[in-house]
Amino acid sequence: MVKDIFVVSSTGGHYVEAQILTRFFSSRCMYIISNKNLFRANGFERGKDVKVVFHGVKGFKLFLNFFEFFYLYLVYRPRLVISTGASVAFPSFIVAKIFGIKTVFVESITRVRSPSKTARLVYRISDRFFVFSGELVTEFAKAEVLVSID
Amino acid sequence: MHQFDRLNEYVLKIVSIIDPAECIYQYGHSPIPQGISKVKASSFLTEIEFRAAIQSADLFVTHAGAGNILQGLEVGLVPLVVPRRPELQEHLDAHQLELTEFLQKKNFLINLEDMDWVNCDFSNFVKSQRGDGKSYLESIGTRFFQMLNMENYL
Repeated sequence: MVKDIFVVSSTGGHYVEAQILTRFFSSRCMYIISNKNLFRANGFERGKDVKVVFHGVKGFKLFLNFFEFFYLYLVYRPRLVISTGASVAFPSFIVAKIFGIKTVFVESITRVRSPSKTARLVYRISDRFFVFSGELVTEFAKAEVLVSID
Repeated sequence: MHQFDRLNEYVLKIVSIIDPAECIYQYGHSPIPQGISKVKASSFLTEIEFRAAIQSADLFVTHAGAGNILQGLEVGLVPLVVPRRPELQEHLDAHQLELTEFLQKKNFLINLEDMDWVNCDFSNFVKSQRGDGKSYLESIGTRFFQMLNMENYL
């Protein structure tokens, strides 16, 4: 199966949410995980479906992320990038825009009353922007409510 | 990194009530738990170890991290959670409280902070075969798939 969808997230909850969201088309997905803690990432089924990039929040590692995504997009040519956060969504979307790849952001299910910093950061560069809470739509006009949790 | 000493107290209390045959405890950045017998404690399990542990568990006590709760629901557990509170420096913000509130309303989990310790029966929280939580998560997956499909994103 061609891996034409990139699913970008950090480890932990963001990755679990990404798996839940993409469960019905996971065979088409390449999962890109930022290795917040290498020792935990060691347990991942690293291989042809999972790639690990630096965990860049700011500074040098975030800077490196841009090159990593540039390389990954160049090699794998995905047609869609989906991210559930956290900060790794930002470089992945910026580079996706350069390549003309569509971007989809899904705010975490934990964000009921106030959005994450990442959501604010990537809102403008997301082609589709999903939230779980109607309260967040007031802040993000184009947001689509995936499943209402209010 | 945030410590979460409060969870230890809850775990101690539950273990003393139900006296489990085996207990696996991942304590993260908190101090090594003391005073719990039959405990296999480690700071962090790998992803694969964690999945195996919740797969075979009957009871699941956890902080209100989305990853833990969602994985617990996936395998049919009723997570017994203690949300991390920012005012106690247990996390950066209140997102664990928000997640707990909403999943509590849906009856998918129990907030141990609201527990009636006198009248509680832990057998109610043993892994259920109802799969309510699991089918709820499946419905989220279905919806996402449909919404992307609608505008030919897939």
